[in-house]
Amino acid sequence: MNKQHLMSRRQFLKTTLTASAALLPATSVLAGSASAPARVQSEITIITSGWPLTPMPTAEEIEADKARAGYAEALQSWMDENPGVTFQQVEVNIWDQQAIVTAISGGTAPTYVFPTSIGGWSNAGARNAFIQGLMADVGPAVEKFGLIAKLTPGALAGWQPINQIEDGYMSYPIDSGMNVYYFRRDLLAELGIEEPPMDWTWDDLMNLAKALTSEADGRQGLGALVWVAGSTINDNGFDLLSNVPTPQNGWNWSKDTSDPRWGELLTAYRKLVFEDKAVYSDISYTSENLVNAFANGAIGMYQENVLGAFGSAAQEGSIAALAQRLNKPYEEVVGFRGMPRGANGYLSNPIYVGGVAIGPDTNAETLDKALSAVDYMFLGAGWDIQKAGQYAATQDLKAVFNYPLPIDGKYTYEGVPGAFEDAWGQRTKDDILYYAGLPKAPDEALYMPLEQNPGPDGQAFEDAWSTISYVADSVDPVAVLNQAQDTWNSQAAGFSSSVDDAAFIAGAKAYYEALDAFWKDASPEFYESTFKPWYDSKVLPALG
Amino acid sequence: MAERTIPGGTTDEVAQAEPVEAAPLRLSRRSRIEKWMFLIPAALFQLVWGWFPLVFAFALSFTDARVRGPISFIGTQSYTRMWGDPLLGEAFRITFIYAAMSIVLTFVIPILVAILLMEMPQRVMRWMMLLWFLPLSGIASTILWKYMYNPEYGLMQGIVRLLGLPEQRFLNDPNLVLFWLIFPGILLFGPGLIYMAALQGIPSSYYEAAEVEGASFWRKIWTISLPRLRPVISMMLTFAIIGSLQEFYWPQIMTNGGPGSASRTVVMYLYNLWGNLRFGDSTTVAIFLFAIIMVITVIYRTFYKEDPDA
Repeated sequence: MNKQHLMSRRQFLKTTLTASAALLPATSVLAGSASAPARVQSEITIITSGWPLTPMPTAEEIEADKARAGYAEALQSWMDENPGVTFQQVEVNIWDQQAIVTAISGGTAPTYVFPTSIGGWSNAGARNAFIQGLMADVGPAVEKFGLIAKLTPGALAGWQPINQIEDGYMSYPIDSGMNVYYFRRDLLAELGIEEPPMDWTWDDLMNLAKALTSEADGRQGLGALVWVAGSTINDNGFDLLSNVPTPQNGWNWSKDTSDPRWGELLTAYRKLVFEDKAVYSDISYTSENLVNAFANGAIGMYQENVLGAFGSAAQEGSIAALAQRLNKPYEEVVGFRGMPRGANGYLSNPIYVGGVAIGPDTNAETLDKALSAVDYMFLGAGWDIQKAGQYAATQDLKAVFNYPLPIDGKYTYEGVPGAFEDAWGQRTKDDILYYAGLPKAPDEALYMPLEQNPGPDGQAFEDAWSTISYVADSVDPVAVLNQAQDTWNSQAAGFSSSVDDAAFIAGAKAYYEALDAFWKDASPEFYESTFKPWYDSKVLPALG
Repeated sequence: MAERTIPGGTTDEVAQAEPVEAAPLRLSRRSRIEKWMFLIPAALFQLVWGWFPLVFAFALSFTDARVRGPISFIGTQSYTRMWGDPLLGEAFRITFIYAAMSIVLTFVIPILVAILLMEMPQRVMRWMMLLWFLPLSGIASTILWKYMYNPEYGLMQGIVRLLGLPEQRFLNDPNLVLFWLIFPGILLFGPGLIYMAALQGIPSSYYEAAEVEGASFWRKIWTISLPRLRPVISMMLTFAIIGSLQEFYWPQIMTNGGPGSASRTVVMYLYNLWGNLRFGDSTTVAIFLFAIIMVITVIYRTFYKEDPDA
């Protein structure tokens, strides 16, 4: 080897330093010249994880899903009016609390975020997160785009009280949804079983699950994720009745799971899972597994948000695709029921108005454009352009009418012949409106003072639902619940609230008085048998 | 018995040789500057990405840290709170069991397998190495294993049925979930390839000499293979201890810590706390874990002898 071609350590160092020094100005010039035109072309970048808006679809994406043509047309019309704005897609799971909070704290969150996931899937948590600065104030856009006038009275009532916080707004509304149980109506007809009543109970649900279970057909009656175990008692008022105000403690709440009915209900659910084998359930399952299992006939019933259940038959795994495969009208194949009523008369209406929040690092100009796009695409002219374009590209009403609870009340769109009921059936629409119109209990978030400090989370109870759902060995649900209660209370002892006792007691009194009035009217049975005795014995003494 | 020889003379001659005192190395000023120029990038990297986060996390654990707004010093509140948190105690218990099982099953077994494989014909050995070298996506393999562990239709249940064993609940069984999470690591052979590479570096003359001496198979392993592997074992064990105590990825994807809390590790709990906006508590747990790993590693490094001839 020619030694002249080898570089000594010293030569290498010299060369590197010299080259770096020489290149530094050159790279600066290049960087400057490269970024200069970029600034001209794109002054504002809206970063999205794909929700609620995606960047402009490519020709290939439109070819793969023709309904995207309408979206592309609408977005292009907005971009024509807003030159210099680009959308950039990033991979962040905005539906995962840990992932999105990590992204926000690291300064890498997208422009659009979902408030409830940041707040641990509760309105109170989302509001606390907002005042802790995890979301930007969208108030200026609410005023600028005349939002209030665009919403139906029901949607406004569902959105404004939760989202208006102090002088600002937490999110900009785009849709409304609620969870329901979908079941195979065609199988019930085949088996000669009557459909459950509209105001069904958990007993009805469990009987239906057993009836739909067939080992010969490889089908289980109910598909369930871990939280369904909690639903069995939450649908009987567990969330409300296990939460006791304790203003004398550092943390103002404690858990009380001593009511014996919780153990009985959970034992009945475990029997359904492990003895009747009527529940399709495994620790590794996600909601996708259930959607696919329902679409391919492996389960006869499962819980799903109405927002996710109205995809067109062109979408693989959609309920409409199942009906098409069976060559039957959608309404004949699938029916749904709202949350089951409790045996004690408790009823829950999970309807909500969903909104998009903006990441806290977003500047005012980007916030304005980001919400201008949202307003245009969901509540403005862009919505009709999308829908007309979707219909023109697919000629499929199911691809167009996929929002069953429009917050602006529009069930028909300009340029689309037909309406929601033409796509999905009158009965489907009537049933949705029936459940959406059920009374809704007052939300704690509207009465209690905002909490600045973090408190104990729901991990102890999530562990309990997991044990009850998956552990086949002898498990005593009462012991599991008691352990969760003790763990939670032990954790709570380490926290202190930012709310002073007087403010807490005033808020709590107003909240429970509202609940007292609500239950007296909405469910006298629950009020007399359960709420009133509990209110008198646990709440009133605690609040003095 | 013939005296064993090593290059440079007999063992006795080497042992009796006078130690040569090394002259102190004096570097010129220019060389010293150069030395620092080479060191600075690595030192900066270590400071920025290693020590700064550690110090920052330590400071954060004494505050009510939040994303926006003023941060207050709260003393040892987070330490007191987390010390009394039953779920954290449980997470540490799970993590220690997981680490112990993981080290026994995916660290010790590969050493034995690697040694035994060295006895196989070269062709077989090459095939085995090729199979283990096949790149596997981590995410893809977790998804695959989720299906394989399904108690209804998974491949593993099929094997269990074929063998006439009682049906398993796999990841749904709180008593065995940790084993089933570690099990793929046994099949994937873990660090076995590194041991095989190290074993191939041992001169065959050592084994030939031992055979001439009449050493048995096990005697050769005990006196030649294992001592020569010591430096590699030492390094790999350090990584294994740290890695297993920081386990996150597999249980997070496969079980999300369940059933109950049966597979929730400390890092998973820490991550949950962070997501629940408990930044001070989360960093406190990180400090606890750091201290424990540090103590275990120091104790182990103090008592473990790396020198093959020691």
